[in-house]
Formats: sequence, structure tokens, C-alpha cells
Amino acid sequence: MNQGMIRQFGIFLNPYYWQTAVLIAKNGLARMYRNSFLGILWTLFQPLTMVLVYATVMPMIMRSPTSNYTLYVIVSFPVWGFFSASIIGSSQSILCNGETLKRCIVSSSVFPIADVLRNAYTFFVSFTTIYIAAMCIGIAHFDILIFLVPFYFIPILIIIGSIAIAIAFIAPYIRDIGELASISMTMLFWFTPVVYQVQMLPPVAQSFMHFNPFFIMIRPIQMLAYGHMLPGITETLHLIVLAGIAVILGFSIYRICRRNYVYYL
Amino acid sequence: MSGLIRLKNISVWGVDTHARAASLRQWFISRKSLASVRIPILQDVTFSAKPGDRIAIMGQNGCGKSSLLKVISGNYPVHAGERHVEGAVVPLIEMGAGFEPEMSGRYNIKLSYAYRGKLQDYSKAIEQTIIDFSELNEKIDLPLKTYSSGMTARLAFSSAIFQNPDILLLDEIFATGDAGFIEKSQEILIKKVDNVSIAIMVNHAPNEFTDLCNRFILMDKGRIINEGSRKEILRHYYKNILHISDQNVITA
Repeated sequence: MNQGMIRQFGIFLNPYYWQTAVLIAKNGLARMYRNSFLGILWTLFQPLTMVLVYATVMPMIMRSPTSNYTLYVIVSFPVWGFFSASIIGSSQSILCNGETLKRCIVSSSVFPIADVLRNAYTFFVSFTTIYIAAMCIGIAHFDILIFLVPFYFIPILIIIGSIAIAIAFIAPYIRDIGELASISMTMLFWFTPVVYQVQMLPPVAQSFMHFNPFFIMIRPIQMLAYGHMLPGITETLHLIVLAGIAVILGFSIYRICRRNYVYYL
Repeated sequence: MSGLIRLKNISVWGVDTHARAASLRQWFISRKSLASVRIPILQDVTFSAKPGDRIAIMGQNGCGKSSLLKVISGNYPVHAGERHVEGAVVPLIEMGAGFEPEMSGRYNIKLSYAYRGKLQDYSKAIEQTIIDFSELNEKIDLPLKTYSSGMTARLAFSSAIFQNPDILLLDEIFATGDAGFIEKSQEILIKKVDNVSIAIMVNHAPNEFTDLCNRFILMDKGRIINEGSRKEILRHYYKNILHISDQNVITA
């Protein structure tokens, strides 16, 4: 690492950078729900509706039913919602704040990070509320392992944050990146065990699944909150390695694209 | 007093975003090139400033004055040459940028500090000073969208001015609002210009603030074309660029 790289990376260690990101994230949340009748409650309805739809329809069309399928969808769907909203939304993070970035001295990466934090907040609100509701009506039962979800969410946050930064900085150069991300996420939804279990796939497909980064991210959360088991060394290691790769790739793209992006806004 | 600016043979190019393919549709159907078409913004600019300098940069719209400020502030990366800036820079370029209409004035004060990368300087005390100066009082907790344009301008000016930089950059931003507020704002702005280490202001016409300056620079087509006394620069500007030969205007 040369001095310039250390200085650029050092931004992410500055507490004021994170305070700014939280402030912008709060701003985004307030803007989204300020004039709506139900406000923040809308963050619950979208995943809840999808959970109800999948929990009703999928058991009817699946050949081998999954035990407690409703809980499986309750756990998986909000996580996927977080991935999807963060990655698709990041394509607009820089473009929508172009005028501010041209005039103010704020680190440009703070905008995609703020969007990811906002989505992480809505994920935690919806996940926690729906999970508690599921416990109250007997779909889920309490297990101490549920408290490990935030710890396993940290590497996920790093991975998604890195991908979001990369997409946000590519977007001024290639405006189609948002559409490409949207199509990719729709495809990946069906290639990732969100509404079906990995065991339902043929053995060959199961082995390919270990190369799917979204499977690597969603698997430990499913194990903790649905399977009530601690993720093994392999799952944890895969997640950490993936976080490392995402940081290196995301930071490299950020370094390449940040230099001239302002002229493309 | 600290603060130093050294720009050596700086060149900056913009991109003609309409000439290049920014989307797959434009690439496939409109047959636009993926390569960027560059537009010169600043060309071979060499410029330096030391503590005590009060610099007025003059020139027509589009001559590169604001871009030069953005290079100094770090908003625009340079493509050629060397940029060396020491000290805290506060650019007052289009104040109010990033204001959020749905949020309260109070929240926007904090947001404006965040967008300037100065969140560490923000406190409840400074917030109160800004509210008092802007005379918004109890309206500060109303959403910004309910403010009149004058009120928004007052908030923008007030939340920008209470900072203590080494280098102050002013881009044709001067006092706005009603007569009383203009007078108060001009007073504080003059005091600010007096107290900072380096002040650089860009204008396309002389005004009361250029009288505070001890260096005068003329820009045209992305280049610094002259530096000299106020009189010399104004004469050059009016005669050779604006093609105004009225002696009264030149000596005003």
C-alpha cells in the first residue's frame, strides 16, 4: 500500500465519516416515509407481504415440502431484501447527489455507505419485528443463537458496502449499471436459496452454490435463525474470505473510478 | 497564520457527456463512442497564494474561475500539473447545496456541516449562533420547504459563514436577503475575509469585496492571462475581453 492508498482507506476509519453516513441515512429514511400515513411501518409490509405470498404458494408447488417453511421465508426474505435494495439502490447513490458532490467537500463514498446503512436499519426493523411476531404465534421459538445474527451481519455489511461503493462509482461512467444490477439480482434471487432450501437442488447444483456469494452470505443467517445451529468453521471462513475479496475489489474499483467521476456527473 | 496554495501547470479536462455513449442504448442504437470526449476546463494554470493574500479572480462566465476554486478546494481532480494546498479550505460555492427541503432548518444546519466535511466543528452552541444570525428563530424547526427563498438564502449564508478556515474561497456568493440582513452579512463577510490567512474571490464584475483585495488576476478561456493592479486588470478585462471602451466604466 502506498501513502495515497493508506490516506484514502483511512477515510473509512474516521469516526466523523460514519457520523456523516448515519446523518445522511437518517435523512434518507425521513425523506422516504415523512409524508406517508404509516411511516416506518411500511418497511414491515413489503417483506411481510412477500413472506405471506411465498409461504402460501410455494408449499403447494414444491415436491418435497420444507419443514416450517414459513419460518424459512421469514428468515431469508428480509436478508435478500437488504442485498437487493442496497445493490440496486447504490447505482443512484452518486448520481442523485451529483450537485452536492460538485460543490461540497464531503467524501463521495459516504453516499453509497449511507444508503447501505439505511437498508441495514430497515432490515433489522423488519427482521426483528417479523421474527418476534413469528415467535408470538408459535412459528418460531426462542433460541439464544438469534443474538449472533448481528455478529454474522457485520461481514455481510462489509461485503454489501464494498459492492455498493463499486457500483456507485461505476454508475457515472456507465448509466446502465442500475438496470444491469436489477436484472442480475432478479436472476440471482432464483439462483440463491431464498425461497427454497439448498438441499432440494441436485448435488451438482449444490456444489456450484458454494461459488455464489449470496449463498455464502445468507447461509449463516439461515443456520442461526432457522436451523438453530451455529455456522461451522467452513461457513464462517467463507464469509470472512468473501468479505476480504469484496473489500479489495470494491476499493480497487473505487480508486480507479473516483478520480474522474465528477466530470461524468 | 497558516495556509499555502501552489498550483503548477495545472490542466483540467471535463467530459462532453452528450458526445459519448453513457448507456448501452446510446452505444448500440445511436452508435456513439464509448471513449470520452474531453473539453478543456483549465489549461496550464500556474498560481500560488501565501498568507495575507486577498485575491480577486475576474473574468467572463465560463472562463474557468469557479473551476479554479474547485481545484483548490479539491472538488475537481487535476489531470496534469501539481496541486499543493496546505490548511483548512472552506469553499463558499453555491451555498445551500445539499439542503433537504423535507427536513427542518435546524437539521439542515447540521447537514451543511456534514456536507462540508466539518461535522467535528458542529455543536449546539454554533447551531444557536447560526439560528440567531439567520433571524429564523422559532421557524428553524419547520421544514425547509415552507421557507421563502429569502429565508432559505439566510439559512444557507448563516450556516456557511461561521467556520474558521485558513483558506476562504468565495464564488460570487455575497450577502442575500432583505436590506437589514444584507448589511449584517456584508459586515461579517468583510470581517471573515480580514481574518483568514488567504481569501480568494471570483467575480465577473468588481464590487465592494474586490476593494479588500491586494492581488488581481484575470482569466480567459481556462487560462490565467494577466495579473496586476486593480486598475490594470479592469482595463484589460473591459477593453480586451468585454470590448467596452467607456473610460468611466473602466476607472469605476
